[in-house]
Amino acid sequence: MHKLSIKNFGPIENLEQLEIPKVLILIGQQASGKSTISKLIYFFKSLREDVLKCLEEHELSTNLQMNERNATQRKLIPKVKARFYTFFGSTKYDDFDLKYEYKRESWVNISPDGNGSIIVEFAQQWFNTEFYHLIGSWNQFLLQQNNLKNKNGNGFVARETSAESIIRRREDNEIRKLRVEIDKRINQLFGNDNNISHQQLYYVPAGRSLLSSLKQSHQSRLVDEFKNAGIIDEIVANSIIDDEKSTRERKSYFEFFVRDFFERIDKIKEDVLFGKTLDEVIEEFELLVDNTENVKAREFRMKLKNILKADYRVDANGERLHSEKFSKPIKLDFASSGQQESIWILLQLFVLILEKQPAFIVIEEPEAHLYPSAQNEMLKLIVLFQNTNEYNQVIITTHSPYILTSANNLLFAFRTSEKFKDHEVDQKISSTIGTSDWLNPINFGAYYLSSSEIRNIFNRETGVISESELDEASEDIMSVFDEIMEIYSA
Amino acid sequence: MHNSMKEQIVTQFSNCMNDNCLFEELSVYFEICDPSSEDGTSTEKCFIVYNENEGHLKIKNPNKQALNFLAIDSCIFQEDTHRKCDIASFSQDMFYFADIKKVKVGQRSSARKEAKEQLEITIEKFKEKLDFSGYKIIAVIALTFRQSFPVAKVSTQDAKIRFEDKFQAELYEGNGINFE
Repeated sequence: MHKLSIKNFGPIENLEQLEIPKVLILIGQQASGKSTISKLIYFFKSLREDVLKCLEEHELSTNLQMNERNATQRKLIPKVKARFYTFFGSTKYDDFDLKYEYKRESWVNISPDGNGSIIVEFAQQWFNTEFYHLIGSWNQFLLQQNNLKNKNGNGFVARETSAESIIRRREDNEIRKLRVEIDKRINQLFGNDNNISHQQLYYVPAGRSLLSSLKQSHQSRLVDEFKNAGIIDEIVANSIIDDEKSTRERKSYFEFFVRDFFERIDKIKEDVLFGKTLDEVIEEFELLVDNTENVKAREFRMKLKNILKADYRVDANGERLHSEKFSKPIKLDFASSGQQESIWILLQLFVLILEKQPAFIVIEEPEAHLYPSAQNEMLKLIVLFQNTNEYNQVIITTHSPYILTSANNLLFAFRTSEKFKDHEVDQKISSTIGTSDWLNPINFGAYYLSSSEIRNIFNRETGVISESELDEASEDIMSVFDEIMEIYSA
Repeated sequence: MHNSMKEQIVTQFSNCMNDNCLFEELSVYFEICDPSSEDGTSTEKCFIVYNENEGHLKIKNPNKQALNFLAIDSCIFQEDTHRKCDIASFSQDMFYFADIKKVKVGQRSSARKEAKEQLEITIEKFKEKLDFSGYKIIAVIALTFRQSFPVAKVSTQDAKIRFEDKFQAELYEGNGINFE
């Protein structure tokens, strides 16, 4: 399991080896460091892309000695630094220490150099055997590609004999296998030993509906309104307008995670959902990709509608929600805040389930603007998503007692099934909570963050979250009411 | 053949008869009063009252079963630290442990936590000494201040599982026991 350690970074003073399971819930007051932890995990996981970029820049060489590995290491460090600054800005802290362990003896350490920059260190072990094998596989891959290119000349392929066709197919196949091998080796480097395809990374920020409204506003009217109301300043307003003017070369004021979120939304809309109902999208995938019914996607789609209370569609007229309650579809901008907040979590998860690609996703406040029963449904969908793939992973930050108690229900359902290991019992449980929503306690972790501590609140013995300051908060609120009631009833 | 629960208790807690900790009750309705719940320092044991709202825990016995009432804290256990739950009450097949806490504004959470701990310690002790086969065990947290409206709480879920796992006991919060 990956582990994160933090010293003096953002609001976090000290965090020792936080284990990162498949489902991690972080609760805590605002500015207690939930997002900092989530973003750091995202950051360290994303270094995989930098290793890949280094390989892609790497020229074919028959020399696989140490100097070559050192060269790759030299290329990698500036990329990691650049990524760090993109994610977290320039370092404001004089003294911090970040360590991320992908597996034993395989870690990255980041600390300040005292001159406003950072020092990136990799475990020596990390660049040893596995990295050596990775470079070896990459060289083989390049060699094979070069051979093929030389054979085919400048893109012109003469009509093949059937023998040539067989050889070419065999070579193509060889290249594909080598590419898979490379992915596997990179995954090994990043502690995902059995994973053959890599985790895609996603971040769903809080306040998505407001941010989305700002971005989607094609007139600057809304931006002006926010500016006049003092919500954003002139520079920000101008940058948003700039953003609209030039979508390709954005000078966005939005931080990386928000910008990345928007880009992914746009991509999903354009590539997957445009002009189709969600049912049509599923059918298309089943027909062209799966060749079989995608039961999980259908289940997800049904539950998604329960939360949205409408069907979603994007086409030339924009994004709309179609509800039986209204004769005409409603533009997403005018939909309820709950619908606006939840739509992009739901559609993002829906597409991930369709694509069956392993994914890591951080979801900030999935409960935002949702009624308690819908919060419960939302959590079930998140768990359904993580259950669809052995490598799917989710981090949730929350302030909602309903999300926590719902998580306990799903954990308890799994535990009850494990206790009896009986088909009839499973059927009884599933009449209350469907099997796809059960949450295996082995895959789960929950922490409470405050200014003074980070505490594990998951009880391995009972298999549920055992305590939460949210319980205390609701008691405190009730106590205030009781106090007034004492005066009232005197 | 097991001894009856009453016989087991008399054998295992030898002081219970001399100190009048165990007695039978046939009334349709009575209440348990806990003097220590008032200030937490009294060493007086719990006792039964028959007028409504004079006590802290209401017991309904509509079928007039022969119920046994056992004062635990300050009676069969005489320590002055109040580390055990207050009372137990049992019929032929139901065995209730209850801890009563008089709660002031803002203390509900800590009182609940303390009650859970005391119930846990007591049930553990009793299970070591008595054979509970044929009995359904229920642990009751009785907070005498106004009951709060139900809120989603993970601590309650966790405690319920812990009581079931450890003692096969059901845990609930309320101001009454109903022997139907």
